[in-house]
Amino acid sequence: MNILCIPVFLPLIVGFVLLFLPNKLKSTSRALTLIISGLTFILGIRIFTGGESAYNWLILQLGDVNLDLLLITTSLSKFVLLFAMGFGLLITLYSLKSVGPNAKRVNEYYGAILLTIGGSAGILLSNHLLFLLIFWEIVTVSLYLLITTGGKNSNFAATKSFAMIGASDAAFMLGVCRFYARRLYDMGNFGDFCNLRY
Amino acid sequence: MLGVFMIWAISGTFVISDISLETTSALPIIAFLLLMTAAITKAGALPLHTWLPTSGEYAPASVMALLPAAIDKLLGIYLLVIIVKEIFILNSPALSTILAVIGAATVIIAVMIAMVQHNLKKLLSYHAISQVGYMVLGIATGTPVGIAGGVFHMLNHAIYKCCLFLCGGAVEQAAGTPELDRLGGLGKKMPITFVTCLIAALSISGIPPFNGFVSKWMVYQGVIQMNPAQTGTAANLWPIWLTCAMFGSALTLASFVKLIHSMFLSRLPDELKDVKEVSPAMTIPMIVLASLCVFFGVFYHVPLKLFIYPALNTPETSIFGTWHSGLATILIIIGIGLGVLIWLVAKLSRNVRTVPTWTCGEVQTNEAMRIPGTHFYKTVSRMGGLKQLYTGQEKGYFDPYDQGGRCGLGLTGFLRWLHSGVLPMYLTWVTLGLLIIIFIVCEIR
Repeated sequence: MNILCIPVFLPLIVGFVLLFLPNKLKSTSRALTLIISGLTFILGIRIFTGGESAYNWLILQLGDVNLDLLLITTSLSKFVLLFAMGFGLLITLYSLKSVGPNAKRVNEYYGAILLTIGGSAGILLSNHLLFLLIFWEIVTVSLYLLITTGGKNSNFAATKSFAMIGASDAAFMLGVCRFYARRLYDMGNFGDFCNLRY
Repeated sequence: MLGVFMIWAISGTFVISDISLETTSALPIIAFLLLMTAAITKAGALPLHTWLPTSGEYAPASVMALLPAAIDKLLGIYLLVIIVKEIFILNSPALSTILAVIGAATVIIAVMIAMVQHNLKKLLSYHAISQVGYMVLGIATGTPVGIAGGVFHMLNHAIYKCCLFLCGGAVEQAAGTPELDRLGGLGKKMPITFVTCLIAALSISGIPPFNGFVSKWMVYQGVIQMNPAQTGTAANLWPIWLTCAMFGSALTLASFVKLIHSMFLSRLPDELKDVKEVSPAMTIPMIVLASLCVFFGVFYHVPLKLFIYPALNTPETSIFGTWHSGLATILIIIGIGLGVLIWLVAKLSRNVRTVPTWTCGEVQTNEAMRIPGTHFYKTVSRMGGLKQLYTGQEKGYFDPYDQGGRCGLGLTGFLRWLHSGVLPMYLTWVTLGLLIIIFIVCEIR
């Protein structure tokens, strides 16, 4: 597996699994989050110290239609990635004590932390606006989940955050419909419209 | 997202590195504004900032430290830099002015609100908003030093604000409350938290030699160097942006004087006598972050050369006049050392008897003699103009979420009124609708 994929997909997969882990496996989720966040930080260092690299994964091919996951490193994304992964590790370490053994929804908390780490890496490495948006939404959802772990009254705060950050998502559907109709009308060719890379 | 699809419609690609759009016509400008809205909402700039203090009040401190303080800032400003430098060519003076106005307004308004907050995490949240203003302002300048300053401030802010939230979380866990008027005197009980919080507070206030000073200094330079040919009106208004930025920094210091006093320096409340320092798992991240605040300030060339200049392809020589951080640090240390020496000499040479406070014919209790920091800026909150601002802010008049909710309620009320369940009323609406359709169709033909 390409080194650029690991900090993106490993935390996302493990984080997703942790969300559904039974409550009695709190220690497992703690240990897994610490290991994964440590690993992603090490990978962040490796990516930062390495040269510029790119990864192209063909997700969908239907005739002429291609949808590729493009991951790429730039000088800007590499340094931001290094610090984002570093913050992930520090907060995981801090949470080992601040989120006590008697806290509720521990697995959900650690799962959302990993989703945040993976989503952030995805945003920083993605060279495709559609995938950037998908990772952007993953981080927004994980913010919602994390705020709801705050207990009483946190649901209101989480909903407000989710509504405000995700407000532009409503415009997304409008944008799709608007430009779908326009491009389809202009081209008269559905294949050209769907071909996301030109 | 609409902005993304607009970009696709204009450029014909979703691949970021293949896009380079001039901001000279309406569609790219609208797309720019939409993407900018997404970026600054994530980062927490005005006017879409209100989710941040609400979250700060209820979310765990570790969550606030990870997302709104660190990662959301990194991602939001990262996206803004990508928009400004890669996806678009920012050659519209109007857009630069919009960015500068957002930046300057965010700095001042958020810090004014932060000053009068009584909840530790809510206060920190408003400062997290205020600091975004410096980043946006730096990027709005369009100058290499300003953009580099904005990006460096993004990094510095993530470091010290994360540290501040972690310190706040440690205090909340140890004392059992984030309310400033119930805290005090924890400096001796929680020395590591106190020192790390103090360093982070001085950093965010732009006090040399810490990292916040360097990046703010770069933003100030960027504002002064704004070029009218590139940024138009925004460049001519540079004294306003500079005043807002510098005044905002002074108010930040004032706000953190209150915070540090309230948490660590005032009299210890009776119920906090048994408070102890938090465990190493919690103090280690705070120490790491506070150390970075010092290192990135004193040896600012290291992060600039290692991270910022390569990230922005900025020539090193185009940045900075003269700032000898090493010499300044030595002088500051000597000054502090002399102060401590004078204090020690005075303490040892005096023979002082400490007694309980006696006034009005009786000995006062510890609680009666406490002066919480929350009293510091009560005068400010009662000043004409500001009083209305604070009242309006508390009632949610400036909150797009609250206002949107009120509009939604009004709309549902109207729809409920329309759907009265009376058949003749529905028939009236149907007839009216048909008449309107006939009128429109006839007009078109």
